Amino acid sequence: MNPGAVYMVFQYMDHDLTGVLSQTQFMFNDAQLKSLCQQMLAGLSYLHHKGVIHRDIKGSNILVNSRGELKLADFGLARFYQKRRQSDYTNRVITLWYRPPELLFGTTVYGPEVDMWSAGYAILPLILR
Amino acid sequence: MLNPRDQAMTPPRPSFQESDLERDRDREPEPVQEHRSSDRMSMEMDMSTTPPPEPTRRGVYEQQAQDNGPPCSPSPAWSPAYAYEEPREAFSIMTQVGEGTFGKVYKARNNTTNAIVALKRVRMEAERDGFPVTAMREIKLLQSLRHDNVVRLHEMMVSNGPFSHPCPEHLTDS
Repeated sequence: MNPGAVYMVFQYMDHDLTGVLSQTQFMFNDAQLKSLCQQMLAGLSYLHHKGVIHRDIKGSNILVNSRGELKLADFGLARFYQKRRQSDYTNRVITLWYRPPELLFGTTVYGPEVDMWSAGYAILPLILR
Repeated sequence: MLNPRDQAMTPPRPSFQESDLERDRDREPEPVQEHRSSDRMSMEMDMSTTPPPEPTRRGVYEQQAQDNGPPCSPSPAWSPAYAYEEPREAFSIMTQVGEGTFGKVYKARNNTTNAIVALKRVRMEAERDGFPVTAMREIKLLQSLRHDNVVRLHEMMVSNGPFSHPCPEHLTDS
């Protein structure tokens, strides 16, 4: 460790969704898929309730462990948003593949719905697999 | 967290304005305006985990410390309960597990509790103005969140020379 380096200490999670998807030996039944979706949406719903947009929902930022628990991670692009009024934010967020069309077209006025598009993209490969 | 010995030598903190947190800086850091020591603001943050400035800037801060009089003595509010009589590594890094938006992530073991944790390093090499605003925003956000499906920030830690001093959880828990 370098002197003066600052670290954030988190609970450790073994896997992320992207990693799990790339491993063909992991198989999910419908109940497990449903649980993963439910947990992810519960996490997102909580964030939005607290006034936070994540802005980088993607497979590698969705962590899972061997107990089937799912946690949203990496808040490096997240921000608090104005719930009452529309506000201007940067459109250079969210990994390209998970970016909703309105951001691709350059809007700077958006809200928590951008996370929902990304969430759909994160879930889809699990279900189609 | 700093131990009292270090704290006595800690130069003044880099100035920091709340408005910086609200600014949408995102991936590319913009230059943050430099403030003179005379109009320094104290950091109005609800946490005491401000790291010392990086070594390359230390000379500047020491100079300012002299301008402002003798360095301050250890804060009386500081609790000695967390002082380690025999400092040792609080965490041992096992492997690098990934790269977040703003820094590398390591798998590590807490040498006291043997718990496995993820250490996310705050990237400060590119920062000219002390602790990065983006990381400050991320920490502030994480502090306000507590949910089973959202990662929880247990604590912040500053590695200090060959030893690392953990910062008690109550400082990061909101």
